[in-house]
Amino acid sequence: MTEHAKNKNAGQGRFSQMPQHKRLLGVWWVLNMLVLGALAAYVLRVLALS
Amino acid sequence: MNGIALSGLYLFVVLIPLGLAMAGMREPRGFWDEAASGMGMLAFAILLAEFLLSGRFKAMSGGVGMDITMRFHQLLARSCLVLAILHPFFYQTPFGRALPYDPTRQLTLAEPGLALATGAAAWVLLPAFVLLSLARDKVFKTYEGWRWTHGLGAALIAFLAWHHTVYAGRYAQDPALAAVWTGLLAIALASLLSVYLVRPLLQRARPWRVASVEKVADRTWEAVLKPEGHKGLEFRAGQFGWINMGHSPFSLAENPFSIASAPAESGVLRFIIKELGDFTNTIGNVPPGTIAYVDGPFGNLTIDGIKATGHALIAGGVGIAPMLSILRQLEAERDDRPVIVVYGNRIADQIVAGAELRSLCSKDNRHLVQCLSEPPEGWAGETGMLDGALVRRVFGSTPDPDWLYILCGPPAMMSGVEVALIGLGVPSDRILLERFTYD
Repeated sequence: MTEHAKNKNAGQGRFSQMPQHKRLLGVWWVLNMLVLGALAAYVLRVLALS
Repeated sequence: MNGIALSGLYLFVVLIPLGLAMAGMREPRGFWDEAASGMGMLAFAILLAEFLLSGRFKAMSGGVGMDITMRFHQLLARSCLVLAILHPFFYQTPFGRALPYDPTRQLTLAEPGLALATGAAAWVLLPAFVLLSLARDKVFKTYEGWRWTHGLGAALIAFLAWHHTVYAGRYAQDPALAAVWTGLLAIALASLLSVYLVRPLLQRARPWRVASVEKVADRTWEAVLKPEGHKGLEFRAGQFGWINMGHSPFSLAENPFSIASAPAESGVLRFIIKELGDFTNTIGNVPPGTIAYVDGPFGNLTIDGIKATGHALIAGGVGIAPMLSILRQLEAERDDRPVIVVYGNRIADQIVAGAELRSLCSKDNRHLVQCLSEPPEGWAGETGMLDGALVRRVFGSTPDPDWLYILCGPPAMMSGVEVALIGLGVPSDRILLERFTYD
């Protein structure tokens, strides 16, 4: 591997070096967390309003 | 649309009902009741978003690839199912008539009636629908039967859930939110109409004719289609199309196949089709002259527009079809970048276009590696499975990360080769593959 390529690979994050199906599961997990976060904000407003 | 934009659109569609409910400033019910309402709204919004991820909409899948949008369609169905199943269990407030001093129904849930019955029906049908989808290969004898059931079943569940949401949902009593639900349902149903009605109409105006169907290897055929009264299909090497041979364009009797011909071969489309059940087992009986319809092109297994100093085409079995397209196009363009073709099969009789591959790879900077897991006596090529070990033998311990590695074949083969390439330091964005089977 050339020095340029090694440097380039070193800059890649762990996520981008996962196989495609694992990366998709990761994105799905993030989307689920964002949706659940919105649900939590929606529900917790009850406490804020009470 | 790229992945980030698609994710943003998904979140926007899914969260807008929840946002409108919050903005409505309606006095909330208790904590658990609000959790139940929120889950119900999210489940229904995800269900509606699923329609757009399932269709053949290039605006949705063009950037990330249809295999990716289809995988998200499958994964998000699970998210939807969990939220939908939990939704009714969190309610604490009793059912009952609206009280005169409680016009916003803070103190009672909807009266038992049609709106609850439709919700219950959707609640029962949705898990059955998801299970049916997961077991589709065992349950359905034909791809056509599966598609009709999936499309009509999804429309029925969406309509039942819409009725329940709009007529039993407390927050949907706000006209703005009710309009959003109805608008999203309309978009979802329009996407079905587009696939089941509009696309067939467009295909009917652009028919094709089967020029020949010839056996090219063991249980493997090459079908050649010629355009009938039009210029043909503009596509990029490596893409695929849904092909319907001998049926009405409205029949849904169509199957996806990779295009094996090069875009440079004007007009003609060649497909390599292996007998794998359903329609493909009858491909040898399709007579020349049969009318056919092509929906496409689709797919991102293409080297166009991606900088690379060389190309590795790694195919297992009938996965050679898109590689032939790419190789034929490189030859037509007199592309002098190096190419390594790695082609795996079980037996020698399964090798497709062996002589052409040897001819195309006879140049100095091209190399053909053939691999058989059950080689005949005197076989001079590689033996064993097309796996990580073969990848290491072919590309060494330091594959060039500036090449493009294009994979097509059985899911296990693609996974093994992908993991091996990444392990050898190839950046994942230099590996192209399309995988449609996960579950």
